[in-house]
Amino acid sequence: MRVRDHKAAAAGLVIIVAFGLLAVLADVIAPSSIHQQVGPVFGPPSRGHVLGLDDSGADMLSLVLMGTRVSMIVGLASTVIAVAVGGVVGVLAGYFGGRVDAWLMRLTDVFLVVPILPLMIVVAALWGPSVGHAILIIGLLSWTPTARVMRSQVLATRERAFVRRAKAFGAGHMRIIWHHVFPRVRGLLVANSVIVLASAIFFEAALAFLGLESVTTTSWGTLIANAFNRAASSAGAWWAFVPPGACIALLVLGCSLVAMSFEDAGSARVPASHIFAGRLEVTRRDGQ
Amino acid sequence: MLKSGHCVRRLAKRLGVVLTGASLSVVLLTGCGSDGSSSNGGGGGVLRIGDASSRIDSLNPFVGHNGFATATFRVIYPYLLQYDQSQNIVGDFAKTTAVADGGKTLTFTTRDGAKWTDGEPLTAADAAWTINAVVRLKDGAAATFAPYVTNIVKASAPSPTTLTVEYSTPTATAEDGLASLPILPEHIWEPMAAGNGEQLATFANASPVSAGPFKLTQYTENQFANFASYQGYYGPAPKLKGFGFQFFTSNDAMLSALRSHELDVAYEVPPTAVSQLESDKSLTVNNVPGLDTDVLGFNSSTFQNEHTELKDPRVRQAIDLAIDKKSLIDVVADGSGMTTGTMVPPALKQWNNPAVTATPYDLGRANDLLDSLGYARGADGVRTVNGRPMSYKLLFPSVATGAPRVVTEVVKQLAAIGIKVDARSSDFPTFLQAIYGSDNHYRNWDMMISDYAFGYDPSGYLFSWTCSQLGGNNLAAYCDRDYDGLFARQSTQTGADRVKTVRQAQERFAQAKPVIPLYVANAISVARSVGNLPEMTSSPLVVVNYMSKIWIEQATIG
Amino acid sequence: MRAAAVLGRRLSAGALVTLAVAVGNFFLFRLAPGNAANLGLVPNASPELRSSLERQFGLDHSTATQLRAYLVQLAHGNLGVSFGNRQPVAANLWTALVNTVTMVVPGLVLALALAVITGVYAAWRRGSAGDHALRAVALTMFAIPGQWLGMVLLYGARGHLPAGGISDPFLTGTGLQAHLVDRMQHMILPCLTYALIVYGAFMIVLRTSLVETLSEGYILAAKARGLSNRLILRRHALRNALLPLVTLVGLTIGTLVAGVILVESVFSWPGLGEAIYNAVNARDYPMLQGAFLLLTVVVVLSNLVVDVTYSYLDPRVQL
Repeated sequence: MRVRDHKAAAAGLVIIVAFGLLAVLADVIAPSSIHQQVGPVFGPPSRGHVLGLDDSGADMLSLVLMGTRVSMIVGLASTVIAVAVGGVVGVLAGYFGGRVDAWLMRLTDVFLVVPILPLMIVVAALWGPSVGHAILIIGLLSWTPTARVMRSQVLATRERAFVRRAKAFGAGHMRIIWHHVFPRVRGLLVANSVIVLASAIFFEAALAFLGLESVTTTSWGTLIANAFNRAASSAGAWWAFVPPGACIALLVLGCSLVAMSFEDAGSARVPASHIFAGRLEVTRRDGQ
Repeated sequence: MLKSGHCVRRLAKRLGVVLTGASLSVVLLTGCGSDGSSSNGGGGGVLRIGDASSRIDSLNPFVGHNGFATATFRVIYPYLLQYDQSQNIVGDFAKTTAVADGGKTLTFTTRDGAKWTDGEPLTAADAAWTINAVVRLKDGAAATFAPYVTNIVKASAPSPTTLTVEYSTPTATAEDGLASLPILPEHIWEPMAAGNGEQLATFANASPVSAGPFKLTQYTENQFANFASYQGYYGPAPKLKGFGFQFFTSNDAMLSALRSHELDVAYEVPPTAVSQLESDKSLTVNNVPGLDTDVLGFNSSTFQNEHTELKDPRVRQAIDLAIDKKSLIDVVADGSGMTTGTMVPPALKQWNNPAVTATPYDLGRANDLLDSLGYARGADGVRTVNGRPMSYKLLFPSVATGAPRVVTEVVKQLAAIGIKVDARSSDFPTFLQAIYGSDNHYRNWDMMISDYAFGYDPSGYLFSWTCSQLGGNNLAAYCDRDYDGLFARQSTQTGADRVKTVRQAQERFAQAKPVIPLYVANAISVARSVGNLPEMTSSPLVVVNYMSKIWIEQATIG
Repeated sequence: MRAAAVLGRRLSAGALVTLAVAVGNFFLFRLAPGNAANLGLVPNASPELRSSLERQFGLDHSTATQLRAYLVQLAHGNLGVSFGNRQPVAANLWTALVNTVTMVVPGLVLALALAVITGVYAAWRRGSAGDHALRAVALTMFAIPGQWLGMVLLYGARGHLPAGGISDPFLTGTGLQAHLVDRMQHMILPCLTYALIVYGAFMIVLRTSLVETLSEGYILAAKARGLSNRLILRRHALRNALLPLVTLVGLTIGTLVAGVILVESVFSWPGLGEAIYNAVNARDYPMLQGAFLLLTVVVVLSNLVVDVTYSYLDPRVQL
């Protein structure tokens, strides 16, 4: 795996890391409490409040900062689930092959077609809205690319001479996977992770917008939803919805830059169409 | 926002309310500005009304409960009586009313020569049939109309223009009830009321046979309803050629349509947009004290025994002290609201007990009160009662007025006295299910925030909190014999006696504090200044006037 | 012969996935708390309707029987009756689907047109300032949440363009032309929003594949033969470069569906998205279940269509 476009990757990484830092330091940086009314409802931007005030008269800058934290948590947690599930399924399928492989891949096919947002709406409607549900669904529907990538690498590695030798010496499965499979898929896993991160943040915002998010949560999504429900546009308060939306756009931009920059050293690559479709199927340059 | 699908607007309303316009701001829409009409409809005598919070829930009067459904029935169906613009009860299909037998018999002279839209004659017999059918089925298929026929023994039509209604006892709400019950065409509905009336609710009523000033011409569920004037109407011919409701899913889309001349009036306008709209000279904002009341309720059910401290009036008092209602109105309603200490909104001037005011905000006293009860704060700032944290589950419907903002504000304010609240929203039907719990035991929740709005008579506001409404309108499981006694007493009284009892009931209620009124939202509507919309001037109703036909008869546009 | 067999295999795989999704859908609602699974609980249903639903869906039988009945009814296009308006779910969904299509198709066409124009330009002038700028714009568009873009456009156009509904309900008897103009006006904001949010990915993918195609041998050869740039582009490069775009449209149908739901919610557009939204608020479980299934089937079908189209367009690819 090598990085095709260093500049773009660096820019993307800087964006993601910067948001990560903001999320961690949100309560330190935030100029005021998000629970405190500091001025009129939808007060315009001023020197004291550079991003203006929201529909409760709270400081938008502080709200956006605190929202970063929730949005990042949703994103990271779903990513962890996706990579973990995908990793296990892929390794099992590749390692054991045969029936197991066939069934697991069929399962993967089914999960691949389930549209995420409608399923989330259904689950939120049936079991009630919560951040936890959002994380679970995004995570559990985003593991398919990881599974496919892991499987193909395990398959490719399984029969290699050094692996057989290692096996003969009694090396455990985990050890082989860790030392021989994982290094080859690392890059794709990173690319997959950033894509899941981006889509999780997208979907969190979408759920909040549809009113399927806990109301006491402050995330980028709920900020946009609040502004919409309270007619920010008619009130002329663009500042109540532009900053959180811009944050989402910027973070997703960072993630796409990183994802696009990866190219497999072994002449495999992820086609751009697959990156934007959120799945990472490797195609061989040499036409295999 | 107004609740849809709940029976609140349907409850009994009582006799003879006079709501003077004096207390309410009066804005007259005058002038015949020609800037208004665009190429789209408009102008041509069609009044276009928009709303983004509510929509007709059903065209069947036995199913549809909400404001727009009721407004539709009001316009298309005859009613015996109605409320005029000063909220006095006046005639509609009935021309005169005579009271006899000490108030036990009401005799009406009805309009002559009226016709339904299918050409069949509309007579007093239709009215008698409707009343008798509702009386017969009031415990079943016609339950939503039951409060309107309280104490009625029977109705009869000795002639096509004479209707006699007999009551078992003099009834304070007799006229209000008959002003709330639509008269349905017997020849259409009679077969459906047969037997136990099971078919009453299953009837779609997609193209209603009606007789009011307007008839429904077009209806698309959740989107719009169009009405055209009906030539055969028994009353004064309306000035409009037609009118219509358009239902939006977003306030911004609705207000944008108002600005682009696609609408003439927008109802249930979010208060946050008021100041921007006021700066537009071609628009007139009507921001008047309303009836829609947001309340914080405690679970008073005997099955709620996990947090018994919430039944302690001193704890409720502390919570009341800790809620800054003025700030709520500022934040949630951008100043467009009123505080009150009782469940009868101040806009009902005659009935509201002015002595029962909102508890003034006093954080210090609230904390002192809880300290004195020995509920000390834990390390996380949350107080504990016998080792259990004062951490409560609060339910609210996402459609409650000002939600979710009003909820987040209350949560914030209660945190200041060391009370933690876990607020959960849901759609309205789910909210009701969760509140009632299985067998109407009201289990598994501690507090709720919801809103209500009834008519001009106080009975709905009082009735909701009686024991009989457990599993119905009573969302706090409050059940008190003395309060019920006061309610029963006022329902047979008239005049000053009734006023006195109604006010007494409010005092009793405020002492027990099953609910804390948070604020009464203003009714905000915005109109293009291109016509005369008399109902806009002072109506405290959240949506178009569902109490009267007079405004729509007189409205002009373009 | 062989192609037919392969196609058959693809179709059966698609059918299998659809079946799996239908079964999953059945259990998804059964596992939910409350009465979500009971298709017979239509409020205010007449006794005839209730008993026919009970019969059709085997409601008082075992779960296995119910599952079988559900699948059988499904095969007949019977998705139950909406709790909201007591109409067949399939009929409700059909109306909504037609409305959605009238918004999505112009949006997709606009997005593709924009993507082809800007993508070709960027690929042709790759490395230029114009290329960089266009790519930056496209990436940004890809990153923007649909509901937010809708709000921004609504803010910009407020009072100038219709922002709610599919048509002006008060426009009556003014002739066909007026109605057409009205419909077009109502389409501008939702279609534009939809086009812009899907445009970004289209443009990037098209540009990337064009760049690759343009560097291939036969293009260079064509250049050497002195063919005009336009001809090369049209005859050789574009056709090949469109392949990945077809893939993308197919693969992103799921995401495109999310966009539809959001755009419809912003602009009160009475399509599938709105139907789902209303179904959630009214606890209209049969509608919700039907809409979810419909969307999933659309995704399965589009994947299949993409596979088939792809192999048709590019004989090198084997199914």
